[in-house]
Amino acid sequence: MKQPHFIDAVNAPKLNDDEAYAEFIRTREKSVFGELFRKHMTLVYGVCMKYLHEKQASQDATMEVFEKLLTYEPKSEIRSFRAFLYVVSKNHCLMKIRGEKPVSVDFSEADMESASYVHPIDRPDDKTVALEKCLKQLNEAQNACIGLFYYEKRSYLEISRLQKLTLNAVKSHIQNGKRNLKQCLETSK
Amino acid sequence: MKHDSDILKRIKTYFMRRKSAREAHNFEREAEADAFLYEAMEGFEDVLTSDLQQAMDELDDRLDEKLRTRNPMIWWRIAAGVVLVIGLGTAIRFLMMSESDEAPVEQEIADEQNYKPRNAAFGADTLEMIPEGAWASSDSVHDDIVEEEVYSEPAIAVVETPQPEVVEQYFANDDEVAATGNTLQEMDDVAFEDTPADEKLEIDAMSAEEPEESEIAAVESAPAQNRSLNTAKSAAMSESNATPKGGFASYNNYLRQNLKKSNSMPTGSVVLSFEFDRSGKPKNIRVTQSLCTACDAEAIRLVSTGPKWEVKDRKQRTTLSVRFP
Repeated sequence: MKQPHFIDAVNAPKLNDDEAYAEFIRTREKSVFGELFRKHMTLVYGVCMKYLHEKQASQDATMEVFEKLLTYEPKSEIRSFRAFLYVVSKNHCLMKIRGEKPVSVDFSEADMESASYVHPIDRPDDKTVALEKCLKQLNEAQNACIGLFYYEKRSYLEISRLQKLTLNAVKSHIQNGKRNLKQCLETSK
Repeated sequence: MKHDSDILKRIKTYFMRRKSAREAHNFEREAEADAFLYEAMEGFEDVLTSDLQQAMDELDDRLDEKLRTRNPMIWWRIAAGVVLVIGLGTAIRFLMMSESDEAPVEQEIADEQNYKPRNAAFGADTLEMIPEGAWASSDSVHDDIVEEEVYSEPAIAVVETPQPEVVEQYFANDDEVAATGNTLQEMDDVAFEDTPADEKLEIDAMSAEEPEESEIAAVESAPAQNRSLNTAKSAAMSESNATPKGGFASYNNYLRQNLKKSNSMPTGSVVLSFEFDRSGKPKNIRVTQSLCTACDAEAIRLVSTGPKWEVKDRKQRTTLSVRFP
């Protein structure tokens, strides 16, 4: 039997981010965007803290991003709202530290692509022969850190104890190692 | 308010080392594959967990505030509306006290029929408003005829304001006597008003060949009626009662793009007059000047399904001419 309409509405599945954003663009309902933004606000604030370092400035920047997006009309389809929000937040903060006045929501397709780029080593079940080969070309510290992190599934803290390195050193070895891996994979193609 | 998004909880748990090494690793793996999370974690590196919660609570409040505050213009508009309503109410009271014996209903209908809309294009193809001027007489008790014609003509359209009949309509609305039952207002949403055939011809001829003359006629006829009705009426109405949402230019565009004209339709204009419902949608549409049955129906369709209007006084009839090119 068909259920009455109001029961369907109650049981309606929650909109995912992209559906919610499309809904906002369609209806321009402030509260829809407000809740969507609230969900990711911690990350926006975190990115602002990374670039602006200071609590007050980062909070202001977070709200500026909110206001900018509230009036923004997408010129093309936003395929991933989360990636879009990341790029807009980051660009906004970068323009602020450069002393430019961040006026509009600006992002390029290239920005969006790099925001949603996933390194081969981070892709599940993608440990190819080429990757193994490139791993061997890394320097000892990078190789060790990446090996412990990706293959032995150790945390940064464990690796820092095992390798007698600071936490930041572990993280930078992993980052630099990944960059070198990427380069190696691209040239070996 | 306390901010408790899922991601904040997970970040806090991670920083407070409440997780096992394997759980910490899983979170780190997630961040390695997600630049947004990775950079946010970098931003929080030197932030105490308690400070992070506090900062997010503050942001939550600021966000709530942004979602609460409405456009301040809305409050100005509401205030202006209230002032207008009170002003009109006072004016009507005066009128009722001084003229409680007059029966305005027949007069209203007579006015409607005497009224000859002008039909000259203001440089636009399909839309023109018929101005009748605006009258504002400063004193409501003295009956000296202080009629100032505030007559302006914008590029595309002019919204006419106080028609003499409007004042009468207020009477009718105010004391809902049985007599009002036979006004057109009480009829269905769309009422065609039958104009005698000869009169119709006259209007058509005028509109086709001598638009300027008909314009004069329309403008001139109004003050005359006003005088005949007793001029002690004061209705301080503003210049334009109704404007389409998005402005006349875009409304005109809407009409031009949506007008469905068949070959059998003659060239000319259908003049409609209507009130508005609460949402600003035209209602009680009347054909003031008919062109052809199909044309009238098309004009009504366009107006009733078209853009809504920004209206100050919903009961004040607005007259609109839809031109069939």
